[in-house]
Amino acid sequence: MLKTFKKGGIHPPEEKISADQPITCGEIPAQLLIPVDQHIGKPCEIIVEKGSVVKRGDLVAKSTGFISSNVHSPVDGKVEKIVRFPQLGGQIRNCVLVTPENPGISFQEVLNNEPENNIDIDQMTAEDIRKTINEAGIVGMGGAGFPTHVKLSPPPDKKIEALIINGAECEPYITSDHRLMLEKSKEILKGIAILQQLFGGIPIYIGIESNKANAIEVMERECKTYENISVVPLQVKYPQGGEKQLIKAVLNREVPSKGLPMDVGVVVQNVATVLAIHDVFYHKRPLLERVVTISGNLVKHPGNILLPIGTPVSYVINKFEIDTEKVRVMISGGPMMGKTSYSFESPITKTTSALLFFDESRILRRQENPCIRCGSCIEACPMGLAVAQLTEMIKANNIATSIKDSIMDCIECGSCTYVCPADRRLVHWMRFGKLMIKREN
Amino acid sequence: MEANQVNRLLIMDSSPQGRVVESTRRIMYTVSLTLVPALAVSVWIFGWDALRVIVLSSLFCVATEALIARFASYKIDYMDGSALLTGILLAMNLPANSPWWIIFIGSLVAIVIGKQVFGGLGQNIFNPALVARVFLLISFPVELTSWPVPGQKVDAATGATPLGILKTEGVGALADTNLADLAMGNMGGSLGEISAIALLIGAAYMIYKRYITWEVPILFIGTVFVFAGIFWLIDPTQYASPAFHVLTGSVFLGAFYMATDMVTSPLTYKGKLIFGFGCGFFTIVIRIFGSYPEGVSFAILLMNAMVPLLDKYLPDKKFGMVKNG
Repeated sequence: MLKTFKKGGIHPPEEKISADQPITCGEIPAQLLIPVDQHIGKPCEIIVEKGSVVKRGDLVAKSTGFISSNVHSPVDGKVEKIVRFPQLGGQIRNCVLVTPENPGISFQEVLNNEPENNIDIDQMTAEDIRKTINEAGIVGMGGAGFPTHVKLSPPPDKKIEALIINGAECEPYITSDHRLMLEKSKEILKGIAILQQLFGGIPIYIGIESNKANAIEVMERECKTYENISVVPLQVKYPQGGEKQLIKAVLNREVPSKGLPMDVGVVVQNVATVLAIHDVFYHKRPLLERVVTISGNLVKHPGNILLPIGTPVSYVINKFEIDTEKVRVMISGGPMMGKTSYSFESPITKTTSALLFFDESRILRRQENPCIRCGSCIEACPMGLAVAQLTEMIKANNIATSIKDSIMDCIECGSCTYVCPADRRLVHWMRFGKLMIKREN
Repeated sequence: MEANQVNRLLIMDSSPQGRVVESTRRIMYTVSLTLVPALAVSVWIFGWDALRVIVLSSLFCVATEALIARFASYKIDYMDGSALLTGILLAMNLPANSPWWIIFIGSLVAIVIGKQVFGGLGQNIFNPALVARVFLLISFPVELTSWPVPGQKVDAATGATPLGILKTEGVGALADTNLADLAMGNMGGSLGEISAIALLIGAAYMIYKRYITWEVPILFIGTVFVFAGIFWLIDPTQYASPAFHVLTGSVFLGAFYMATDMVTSPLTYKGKLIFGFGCGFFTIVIRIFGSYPEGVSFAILLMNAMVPLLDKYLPDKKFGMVKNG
């Protein structure tokens, strides 16, 4: 019996149709629109201006605090202008518009020109590692975008006893982490070794869901050359990729309400993030690109592609020959937690794990019907919240202290809305309630 | 690449962009379908008169809801199957020889007083079919307690239910009662009270589909069995056997279809346990000490009233309610 988390969870159709497609490299697009704020935390300060010349890896926006993250240019080029532009998800944010020097050349060529450095990780101190990761602008690439160096800097009173590498990839459609584990297993393990050095040789667990049997096999083979690193195969269940659920599944530790993984002595990092950490140390390049799964029922040949940060969606649409006339729903991320977007020129960011294109068959014409108290949402909630009652209270604007505690535990995984037979937008109301409480404080 | 060049054809919606095929309609119609075996047994035992009660009751209930939908300020989907289900359940609580006006009044009470005055589907505190049944039982005791004798056709003689006999004549009068007959439904009673086995078939499917959970029915029936057993062990000449108590009356109908009604049963695990126990406990108390021969309806309505309290004070343990790891 494989491990999993106990409370709640759902089994949406997996739809991992791009799982067998190797990661490809495209060309450098004609224009890049580099978003300045791709992380959770303080906004960045733009340090380039119209006309500035940037090289690959140059800083374009500087972090302004501890919980903030640098942004770099992935190409050699010239800054055209700084514009406010809709992001994937819809918010309008500052972007740096860069015209590359050599548009059209293969991105693979650019990567090949970067030599691999040999480094001695035993010589590195924890401070050096944190500093390098901070400067490289690495954020959690699983979707949240929380600056990685913050997660790697627990306060002295929190002893970190284990590190979990998140290869669960529980969202339907997305296969980018799966492909990375198959094709970049050596690099991922080198990245893990750096983190192991940072925390002083603690045990490391790589949690992978059992629908990625080949990835489990490859990673297990690679693990053998390292000490104290092991693969933990997991049952397929959404939302296993959620930090708290993954810790429960792998180590059977329960992160307390309102707490953080470090409260139970654990740090969780996504496999793509670990690969980015590898690239910083072995290729001396900050976070400049990421693998994006291109899928959905309008994509004839779904695949996984390595794209420079700031590539507009229109590049992907041309590359994958997607009929824009038919696209009605475009999702960045998976269908469970991903965000819909309205502009084909929005750029991909450090956290865009997938771009999904659907026709009108995916449109949910939801009309909320009365709650029949069936209890499906409570059964599905991985946090064990009484969703049906909480949403009623939010609607009635009745937010007592006890309710506040529960709502703030919501991880917004969307399982409740997914199972609701009355089509109620439960997670939407939970988000709304959380927003109201945050505003009050 | 102008900033305002926005393709307005794309749909913006909050996640998740997917959902299960389950819907309120599907649940209501499926539950109605699971009642078919029990309905078939009642038609087989009581003849076409039973079918008349079922059809009239369903029709009246849906019609009443449609009429309210016509005048209500909020939207009511009267074809969502909930009114139909109430109608069928009401029919199962009536004798096969009920006159049409009894059914008509019952439907009105169920839909108007049992459901819509609270705000419609999902808002009612009490099970609408049981509200109607108790209303009729108190208002028209003669019509509601003259049960047709099994196997006889229209206008035949009427008799009492096994529980009625127990109440009026004592346990001695039941000496020749056969438990197999009771399980198959070969006895007097209202439409749904008679066959425990047919009800079990439907309930098994509902449990398989997870429309109901085991807690309420098992505790309900178990509590009836245990308390009846205690009295039976004390004095078998005065009290009926626990098997008799479980198989007669509407214990099975109540446990699987009335008490488990999603709207009027608790949402939490501990709440369900106490709810099931309370239903069984009050059933036996009313049967043994009360003046009515049957207590299931009253017991469930009593416990329905407790549901908001149970939900509030016995919440499920949520994730992260730990001190340390």
